[in-house]
Amino acid sequence: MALPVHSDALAAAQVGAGWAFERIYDALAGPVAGYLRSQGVADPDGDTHDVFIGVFKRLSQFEGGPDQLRSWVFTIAHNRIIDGRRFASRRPAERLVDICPETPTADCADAAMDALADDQLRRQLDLLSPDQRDVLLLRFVADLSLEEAAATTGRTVGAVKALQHRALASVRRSLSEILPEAVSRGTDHTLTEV
Amino acid sequence: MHELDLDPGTSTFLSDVKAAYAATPAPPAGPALQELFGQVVAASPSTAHSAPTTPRRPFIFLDIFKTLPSKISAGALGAAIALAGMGAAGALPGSMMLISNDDEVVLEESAPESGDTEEVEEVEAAEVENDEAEDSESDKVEVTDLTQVLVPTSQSEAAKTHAFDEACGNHGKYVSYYAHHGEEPPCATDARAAAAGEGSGDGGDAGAEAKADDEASAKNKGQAKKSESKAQKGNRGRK
Repeated sequence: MALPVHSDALAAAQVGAGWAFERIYDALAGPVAGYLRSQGVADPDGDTHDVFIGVFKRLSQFEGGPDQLRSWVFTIAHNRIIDGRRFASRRPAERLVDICPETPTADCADAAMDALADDQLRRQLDLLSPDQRDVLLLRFVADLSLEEAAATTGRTVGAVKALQHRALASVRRSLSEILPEAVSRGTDHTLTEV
Repeated sequence: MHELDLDPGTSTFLSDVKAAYAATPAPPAGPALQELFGQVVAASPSTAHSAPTTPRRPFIFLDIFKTLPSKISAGALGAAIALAGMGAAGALPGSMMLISNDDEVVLEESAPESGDTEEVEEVEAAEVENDEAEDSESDKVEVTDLTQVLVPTSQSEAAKTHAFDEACGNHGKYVSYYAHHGEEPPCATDARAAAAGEGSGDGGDAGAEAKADDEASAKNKGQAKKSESKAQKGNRGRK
């Protein structure tokens, strides 16, 4: 969950205080990286880095409080995803192979298992329309409020509510078509094979 | 958000998604970000102008001056309002306003243009010596201000405290130290101590002076009454 960004840190960052930049990064970079990863971007850490470079360079022109800042940061991240959708094609098998060389310190097998779990979750998410997926992830991964999600996606609150409702209905429908064993789990967070 | 009525399967799925992604740690900052994190706010008027306004600042100064002896507060109050206006415009982090006895606000950049050479000299000396000047009346007033500045009890209050911007170099250093340590930096505590040491003598003198004036006038009144009654007695006697 995103840590709160204090208005003092925002005010200090807007005049270029480095310690304030770091505070904002610590508060928001994790959720942004999680959101990018959940959307299947190839390099979530790299994209997170680029998002925040852009945020800090334009922060002096930003108008608003900490809540508006969260919306703005996720809007920038969201727009990168929209741009990426035009070009990226998902190849889970290739990604499994690619992950090991790109992970400098993690055990390769663990990284592959994590990627497999990600793939299984993403397969469910891929059954949703892009708009439904965006709203679901902004609400349940990035932990944005309805108003913040509306601002991020450029929609009204009513439209976000409708998309959320349809997304949850789609999830419910797709899960009901899967074998019961695949969705009943105790503490194991990984999906079993369908 | 979670007043939604979810079936167990959907709820579990969302929990999985949240567990997989929501607790992602912040990726390590690359060199470009590290460079930004090491940035310090430049103490220049141009950067100061981008500071957000704090409309409450004038009231803090007004409260401070309420406790001063009337002789000093009358002159300083008008300047304090201008000081708060300058702070609201964001100039405080970059420059320090000095207060003169004559209700004139003298900017350090415009001091040579004021036309009053004596005043200008006092202002410049105070700037160079960084709150430790003891000669001019304007500095005495400023030292008294620091003793009245409340110690912030939160980061929010520290961000709104600009009285030690000059003593600490710039506002960012003051706020940054407070953010990291939860207390004022040594430059601020030293400035407070210096102000308290100077202010107690000067403030006491001013107060004693006012008291002496009052006592003298009371004495005069008493003497006038005595002589009046004497004169009356004398007149009665003659009659």
